[in-house]
Amino acid sequence: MITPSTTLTRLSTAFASKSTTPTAALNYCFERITLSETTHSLNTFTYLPPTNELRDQAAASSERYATNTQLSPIDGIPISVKANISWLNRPTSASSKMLEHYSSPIQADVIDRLTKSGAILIGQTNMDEFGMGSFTTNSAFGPSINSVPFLSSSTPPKHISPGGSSGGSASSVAFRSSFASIGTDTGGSVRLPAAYCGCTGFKPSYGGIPRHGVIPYASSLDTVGLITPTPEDAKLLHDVLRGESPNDPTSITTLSSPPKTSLSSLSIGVPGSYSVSESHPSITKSWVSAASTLSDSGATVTIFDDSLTSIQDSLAAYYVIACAEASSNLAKYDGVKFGSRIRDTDVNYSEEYANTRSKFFGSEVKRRIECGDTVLSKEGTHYSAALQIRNQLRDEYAAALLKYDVLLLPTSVSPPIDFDDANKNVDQNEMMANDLMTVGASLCGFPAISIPVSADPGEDFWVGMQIIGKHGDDDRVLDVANLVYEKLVVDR
Amino acid sequence: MKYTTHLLQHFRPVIGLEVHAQLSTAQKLFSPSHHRASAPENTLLSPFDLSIPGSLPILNLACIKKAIIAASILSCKINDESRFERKHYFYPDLPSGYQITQNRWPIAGRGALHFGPQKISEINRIQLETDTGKSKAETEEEEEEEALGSAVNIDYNRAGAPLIEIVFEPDLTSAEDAGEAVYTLQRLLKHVGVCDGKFEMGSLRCDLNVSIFEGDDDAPIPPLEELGNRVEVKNLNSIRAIVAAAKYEFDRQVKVVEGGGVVSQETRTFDKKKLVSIPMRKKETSTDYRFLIDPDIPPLVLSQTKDLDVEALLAGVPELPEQAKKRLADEYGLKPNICEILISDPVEMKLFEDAVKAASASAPTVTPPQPPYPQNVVEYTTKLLCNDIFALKNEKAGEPHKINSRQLADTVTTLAAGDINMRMAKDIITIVFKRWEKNDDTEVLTLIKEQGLQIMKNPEELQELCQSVISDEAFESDLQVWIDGDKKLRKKLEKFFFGKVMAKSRGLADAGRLREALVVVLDSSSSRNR
Repeated sequence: MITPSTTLTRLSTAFASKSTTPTAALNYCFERITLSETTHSLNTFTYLPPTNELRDQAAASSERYATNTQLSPIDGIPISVKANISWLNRPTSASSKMLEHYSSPIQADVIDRLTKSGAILIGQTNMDEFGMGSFTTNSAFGPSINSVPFLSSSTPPKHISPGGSSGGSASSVAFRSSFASIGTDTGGSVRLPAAYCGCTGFKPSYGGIPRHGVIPYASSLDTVGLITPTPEDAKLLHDVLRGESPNDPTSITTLSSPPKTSLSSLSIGVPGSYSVSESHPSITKSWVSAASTLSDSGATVTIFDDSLTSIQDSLAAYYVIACAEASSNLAKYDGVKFGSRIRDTDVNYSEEYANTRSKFFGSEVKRRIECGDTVLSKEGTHYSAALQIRNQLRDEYAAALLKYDVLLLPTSVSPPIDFDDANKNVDQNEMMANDLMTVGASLCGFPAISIPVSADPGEDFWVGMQIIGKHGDDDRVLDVANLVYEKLVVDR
Repeated sequence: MKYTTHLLQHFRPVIGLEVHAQLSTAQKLFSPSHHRASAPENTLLSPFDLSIPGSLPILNLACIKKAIIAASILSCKINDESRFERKHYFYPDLPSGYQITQNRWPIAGRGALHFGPQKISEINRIQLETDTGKSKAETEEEEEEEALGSAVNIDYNRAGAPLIEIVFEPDLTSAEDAGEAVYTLQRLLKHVGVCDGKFEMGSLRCDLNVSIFEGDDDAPIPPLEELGNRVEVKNLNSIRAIVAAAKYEFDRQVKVVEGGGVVSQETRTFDKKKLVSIPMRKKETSTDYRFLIDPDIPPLVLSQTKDLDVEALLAGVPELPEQAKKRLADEYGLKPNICEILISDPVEMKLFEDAVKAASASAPTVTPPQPPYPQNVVEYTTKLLCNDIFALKNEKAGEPHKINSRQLADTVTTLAAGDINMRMAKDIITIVFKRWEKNDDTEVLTLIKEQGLQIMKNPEELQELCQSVISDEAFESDLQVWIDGDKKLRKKLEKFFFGKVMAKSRGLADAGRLREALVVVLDSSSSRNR
């Protein structure tokens, strides 16, 4: 019996023990998609492949399980992918008008690895255009709605944001219209929506999963990440997708480390500098409560205030670097080689480019390109300053992670945007400030995972707790996340 | 060089070169596609060449190797760590909106190009970078449209092709020097296989920067701030165009200054038909390139690059023309003009050296043979190679000879031993060439026997031959004249008989010994008849 609380790991085990089949799981997801997209109009997906195609794949996978010849633990698992991950000869729009009718001539390494492992790619999920946003409100195809309030049918569900930019991915996993989703995390785009949707969001070390085929936003930060029901699921999926690729010169193979089996030998650092006045009280409370629970369970928990002094500048540095790289990465969209174009033979090429770009890029994308152009200009000094801050921050994080096995901090500053609250005027800068908690691990390229923790009983949103490890320590982070998850979520 | 037209003030130009050389590699700098200029339009494309979203640059080792070789032969400092940067501007032939180049961290730093008898132009840096696609305007109408920037057909085959840009210091003081420097550079790059050097195919492109100063012919170039404004002249695609553009630009600037004006700092292009430079459109002189370290490409660290051994790579670089010239003169005592001929083609040079060494080896004193080589061996080898073999080849340089070094050496040895003469040697080489075409590389010594091309040196044999001629009835009266004749008449007849005997020997008789034999035979017949 598959339910909205079935995890990827449990489904995989059920396939192997033949208590259910990939065909049954696919049918379950089809029902969930109908419910989320048709009944509730959550706008989770930007593209769904023909159902008969998927049914054939599920049948083939079911056949493999019947003969015990499954390709991997994720064989037959319905998995969704974010709309900026190139899927050969399929639409890959990155939720932009610029790529609305674009079909990719290449296949991302991560898609390749998924299909070779037998996963069923159930659909492409909605996102902030090119990954630029934290609430999936910047999609050219309209915002996604968080599916979590729709899981219980007691009260009329609230319309809140799933977070972003991988909002469709997280909302889909929370609703089990897929059992895992491949997202991308540039400054928190996997961790934040996972937190808001009560899922696990894992951002590996930079390069840990190859980027080839991922439509770039900011190349030095873009990381392929995973959204799954639990940390255990993330580990299982990560093991299938990890490792360097000849197609991506920045990809790496992170080493496996011996599994961590107990909290008692664990040293956890709690960076007090992340305790900011803007934090929602419920989030702060959850953080404190998580730290004391872990301490009570035998972990050595230390609150430290010094060392991470660059945190205050990290958000600004993040946006300067991300915008600079975005302005460069998005220079290719001129409509000449691919993508949307306003063809006009009466004007010269530069005017045509300008017309094309101003029509098909959304306002937030344009804002970031302009910002990037400015910081990279001859007169600009912000870019080199940002690089300095980044280096300093990396040193500080690395130093802290010499003292502690992992760091523990919340995934967000504030709760998700409430779409029903008409009084709430959403300010783009305020939205950016919400990324404070996540950009640190992004700038450092360190592995970070967000695990779902219930907020105060009075609140109706999920809180994410982040666990950050040192570069390459991905397995350690996943193991610790699993122990912490069991203590904070399962045991409670 | 004197510019005597400007009588009131004496101006001189200061010229700096920027040369773009396309590397002779099978692949582009960051993609596995070829970049042959001859391929049909838009057929040599990888996703990265078209900047397909999500495609990533994969640096090709072959390109790095060529750049290292170029840096080495130009005595540039090779930087162990270099970085790639993006240089941004919008133009339809630039698919990604940026060129990948090495602005602040080039692969090689300071070096120098030596040219002419004793001239030098300092090199500031060598950087690796990607080429752009090509705008294809085929009709005049299309050219006009392209000029307006409205409709352009683009061939992206060249997009991403590997280039090195060699940036020279502004230290040349004549248009001719600029031409000669580029000519030397072209020959060098071609010699070591870095670039095919074809201006006509766009494999080599040159930009100039020209400014002027007032001073005598031997005055040193003043510091930068005392020079006039620098004018860049772009896209010069032949040495002739470089010289013409430098001259034109110098004259133009002098006229501006003499007319009381100030040369404006600008970028111009050279019209090779009208031989004038004209200011470029604004787009090509873009204002701010917004350089950004390419986040997709890790820094290039040569000492940590897999499958790259810089030392071994440089050990395999062929000898440079100037070095070879000096060595040939030192080791073989060859005249400069002969050295020049031999170094123009590495294949010929190798044939020469191998043959001389092999021929010298038969002189048993030193093994393996070392300089100085026997002078007659060197002389015969040079003569046969430069006169006869080149004449027979009658083809372009670089093609293989139809003779191997062993065959040439054997010919030379036999010649030096006096067993054959020069004429026979030429015959032998002709035969070798003919047989070569039939895949027959018979040894020369066998050929000599087979063809009976042996010189007659035995005195008795020669005397016998002489005897047979002078006792011929047909020459009876001639013999009588010799017997009766005075000294002058005898000399004349000796020549006559010499010719007859030589003919009878089919040219095989050794001339000196034949002369001796003839005298003996004639003397004896005269005493007999008395």
